[in-house]
Amino acid sequence: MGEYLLSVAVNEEKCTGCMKCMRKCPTEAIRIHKGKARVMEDRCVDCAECMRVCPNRAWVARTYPLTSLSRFKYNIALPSPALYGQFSRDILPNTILKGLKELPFDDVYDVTLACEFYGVVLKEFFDHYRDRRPAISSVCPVVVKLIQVKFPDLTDLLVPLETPRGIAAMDIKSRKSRELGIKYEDIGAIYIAPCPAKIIPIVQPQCKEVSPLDAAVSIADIYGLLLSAMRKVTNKKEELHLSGGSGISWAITGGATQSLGIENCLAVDGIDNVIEVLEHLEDEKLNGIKYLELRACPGGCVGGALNVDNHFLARNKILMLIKMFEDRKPLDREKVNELYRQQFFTCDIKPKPLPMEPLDRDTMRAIQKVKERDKIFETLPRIDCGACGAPTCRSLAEDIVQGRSAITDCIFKLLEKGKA
Amino acid sequence: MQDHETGELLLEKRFSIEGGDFIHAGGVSSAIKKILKDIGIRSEIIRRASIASYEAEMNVVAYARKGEVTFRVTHQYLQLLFKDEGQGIEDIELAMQEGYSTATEAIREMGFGAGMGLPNIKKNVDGLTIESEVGVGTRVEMIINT
Repeated sequence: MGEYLLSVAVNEEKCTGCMKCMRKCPTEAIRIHKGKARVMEDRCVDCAECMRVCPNRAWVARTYPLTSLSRFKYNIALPSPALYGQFSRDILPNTILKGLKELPFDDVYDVTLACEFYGVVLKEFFDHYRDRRPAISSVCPVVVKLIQVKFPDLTDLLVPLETPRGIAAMDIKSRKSRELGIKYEDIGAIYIAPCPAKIIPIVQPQCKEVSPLDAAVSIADIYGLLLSAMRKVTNKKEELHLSGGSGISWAITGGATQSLGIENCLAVDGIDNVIEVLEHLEDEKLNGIKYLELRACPGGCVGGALNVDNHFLARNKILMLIKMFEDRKPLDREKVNELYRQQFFTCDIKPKPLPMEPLDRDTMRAIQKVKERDKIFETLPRIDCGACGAPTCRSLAEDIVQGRSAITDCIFKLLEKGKA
Repeated sequence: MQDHETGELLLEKRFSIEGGDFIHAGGVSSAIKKILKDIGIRSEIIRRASIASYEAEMNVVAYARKGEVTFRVTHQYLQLLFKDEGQGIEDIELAMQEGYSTATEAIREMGFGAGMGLPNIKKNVDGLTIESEVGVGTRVEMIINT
């Protein structure tokens, strides 16, 4: 696996080269080449905006197919908190978890419970946080990658804790390994993911040397199966959903920071908004903020591209559940301490900066290229029509100086040339 | 401060700023930041140049009718020259003090005018020259060694 791995791919048979994704991409990572969308890997941050906007369903998530799970002796499903917002209001988390057990999973683990454990540790982290600059949540893999690629100087600010989903995986895998006498490696912790990006830290771990999660399957892929499985679940008393409202609140932007009561935090969602706030942070214009909860998807994980329900409706459902379970028994503090002693929260490695390359590694040549690019740009029509295959005239000018495109890729320039 | 009249000019860019246009304020400093990233200047230098140019840009927006920015890259340093037509600074020494501000209530309500602009510029540059004439305008020249 190289430095860059993408969580989405283009199905060339379905791609019509319509440019919708190219225009939407927040990092200008997409070009249309010979009528098909192409990704510049070093710029992609896995936000899946391309997938969301594609009218031809040509972008596919590189999540794992359900059939791939047979490689594990024992499979455990760990659903994203966003899954609880995907069904009608009468379907409660316990039914969803029971339903998951009817799918090809041997067991389930309520990740919202791990969110509560994580919340306790995060709160303590902030009780001792003294940095002048805010810490940034490391839970959203798109945010982590965006920072690595576009704001490399901010990577040190990412909260150095394993994610709730990772903690959940370690907790259940070590417990099941003990109880059932199965080797830890033979147990598969499978994340039920609301977005393609969740596969990235599985393949390229950000905190532990080896990812605690083993695979991620898409919520959309299991949705139909889960609906029918839930119809079959019995009333047999089985408490699978264990968290209170605060754990469930992780599904939506700002839910967790609100329930934890961390002061001076800023909760921001939507990739463009996240970029704007990080620009502010880079220029030291965010004074007095202690914590940045950044989520690439609109509304938080409920807005992930692999969800089924509209994110406003899902948010509404999550808010209902938060209220419904807010008075649940207090959190098991001893359990948090136990996980802490096992060092499940601490990171062995840190995400490393992966800065986008300047126009040239040689500064003199880079300056020359800036001049050339700006000169070319002046001659372009500057209407960003996209017909050349680049999202803007400026990006075409850059592609030309980098040798990726020719001036005649611009239809206006081609026409001029034809007339001359 | 080093002699910044010499040094081979590698790149020059000019920008203009509209006084009072708070909505687009910050555009010039972002453009400068983008160029510096494109040419691969060290991130620490980019950070300082962005902060200093943002503060200077805000001063033009808040206190002048219009301004011109010249941004130069030479072998040894970056030069950021902000010239404006505006109210000017009466007492430059006083304006350099943290917390000193002549901002109107309206500007403060927008979250600006805390009296940190010039001190913040000074902290982030290697050379700073300010010339000003009350009622005419201000010329701020900043040098950041690369």
